[in-house]
Amino acid sequence: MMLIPLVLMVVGISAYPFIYALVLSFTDRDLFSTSSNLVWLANFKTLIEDPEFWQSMKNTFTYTFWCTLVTTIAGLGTAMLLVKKFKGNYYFRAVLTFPYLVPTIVAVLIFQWMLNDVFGIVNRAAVGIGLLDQGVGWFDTKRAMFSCILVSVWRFFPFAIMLFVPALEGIPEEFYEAAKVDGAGPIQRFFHVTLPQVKEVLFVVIILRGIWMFNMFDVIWLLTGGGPVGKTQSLPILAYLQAFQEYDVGLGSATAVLGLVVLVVFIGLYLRVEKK
Amino acid sequence: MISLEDKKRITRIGTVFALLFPISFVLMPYLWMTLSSFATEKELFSNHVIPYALTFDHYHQLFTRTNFARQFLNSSIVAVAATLMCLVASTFAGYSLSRFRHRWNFERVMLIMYTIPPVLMVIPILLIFTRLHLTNTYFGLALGHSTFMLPFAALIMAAYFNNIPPALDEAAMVDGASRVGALIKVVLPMALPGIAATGVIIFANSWNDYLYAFTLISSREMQTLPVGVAELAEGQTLQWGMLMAAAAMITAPMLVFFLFIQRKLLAGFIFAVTGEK
Repeated sequence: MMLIPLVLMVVGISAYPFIYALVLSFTDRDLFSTSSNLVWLANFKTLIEDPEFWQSMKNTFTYTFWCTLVTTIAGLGTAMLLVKKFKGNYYFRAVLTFPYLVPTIVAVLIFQWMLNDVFGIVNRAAVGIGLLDQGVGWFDTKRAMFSCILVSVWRFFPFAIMLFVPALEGIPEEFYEAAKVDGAGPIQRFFHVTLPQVKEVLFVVIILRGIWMFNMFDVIWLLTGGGPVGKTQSLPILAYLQAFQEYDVGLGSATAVLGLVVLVVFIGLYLRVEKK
Repeated sequence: MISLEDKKRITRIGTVFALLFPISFVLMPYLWMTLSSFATEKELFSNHVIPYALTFDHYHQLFTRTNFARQFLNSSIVAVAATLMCLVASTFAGYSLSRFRHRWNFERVMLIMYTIPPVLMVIPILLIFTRLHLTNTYFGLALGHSTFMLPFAALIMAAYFNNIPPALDEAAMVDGASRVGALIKVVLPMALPGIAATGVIIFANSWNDYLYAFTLISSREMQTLPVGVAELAEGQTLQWGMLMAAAAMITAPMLVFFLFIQRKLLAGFIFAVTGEK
């Protein structure tokens, strides 16, 4: 009897919309009409022949790869410093985890202002201390992707810290002592003691961050809207534009479904490599 | 010769020094947001790092010239509604997950659900909600937020219930209480701190959401904060002082909540942090 809410919940709010979305991707459904025809694989055929789709796919991979890599390394590095005992440790932890609760729109606004080409503090400071001859456009075709990754790292590396800190605290001190007795230096201790001990958490961080960055919508949408000239347009952005600006719900669903298929294949490969 | 005590002190100073890099990376943007929100228009575009002249003008403008107050109210109503809905449903679901054996692995179902792009889910949800006349309503948006928060809320609640011995509910049932009675009278009071922390996480996710609010709400009066403020940031000449004031105002409630639950977050509250969509 107690199971009923659980089953209803999963079916009602997840399974039903998901299956509905799958069905939509095989139709030519328009946002404002209620009738639609089955067109089977026509949407997918359109996408595979569309260079914009492949460009978005490539952007998604660039964004996901760098965000996941930097978030994980920065998170692990910072967490390793945080588990050392020193005064004020608690406050350092608090400050470092806060961006995780801050709305994306706030992160985006602050960085848009700081990276503003004329009045932004970053350009003015860089020119002031002689790092740059003149201010650069942080959202131009060359640097927009970098800026998207920067904001995402700021917003999401606390997630990695939160997962790594308890894992690192669980490593018994004796392991490090034993390694020291055996003459292992700091780098060897990291690779032979720390890394194997946090392997499982590392795996969780990479897979969850990878999934979320791959599906990320709001950071990119709010920061650049996918521009300039599609340089930061990822698959979720493309799907959204197709469904809600071109009103082609069928095509938008197909884009998102294809993205999901690619993601699932990658997770499968990753799980297999991980097992070995 | 450096003594062991000195060596320890040097490591400690080195650690704090190294931590200054991530700390300043995290703190600088907040600092700049706060400073800019209080700086006068002239100071904002001057070369002073610390503004010489401070003002509340930007906050004043935000509340008098824009829809900010209404959006703040909308966001609060939706977040509270979503929190209540999710907490009630996830209490029962979490309890059943914790106390009864299940044939399928709910954790695995969760992982599968995480991989579904939110963009893919929002398309059918918009179509379904339009048919049910749930678009542009508080209840509809709260329900939309529940679709991504509920499964995960149920998982955290199950983790909390696992820490409460089942012998307690059995004792209550021997005394004549029903299953639901035992849950409400015995188990719930003990799980209260966990429920509060879960509530904060749900509230934060609803408060932060942009995608669902942007898609399911089209009327101006019903807009929530992230959507409304994003609209203020469109156009050629932007009032950066006012935008920073808006950013600070949206952050403020999260800061209060953060101070309230951060011990839990830091104590390895892994389920909670994985609640992001």
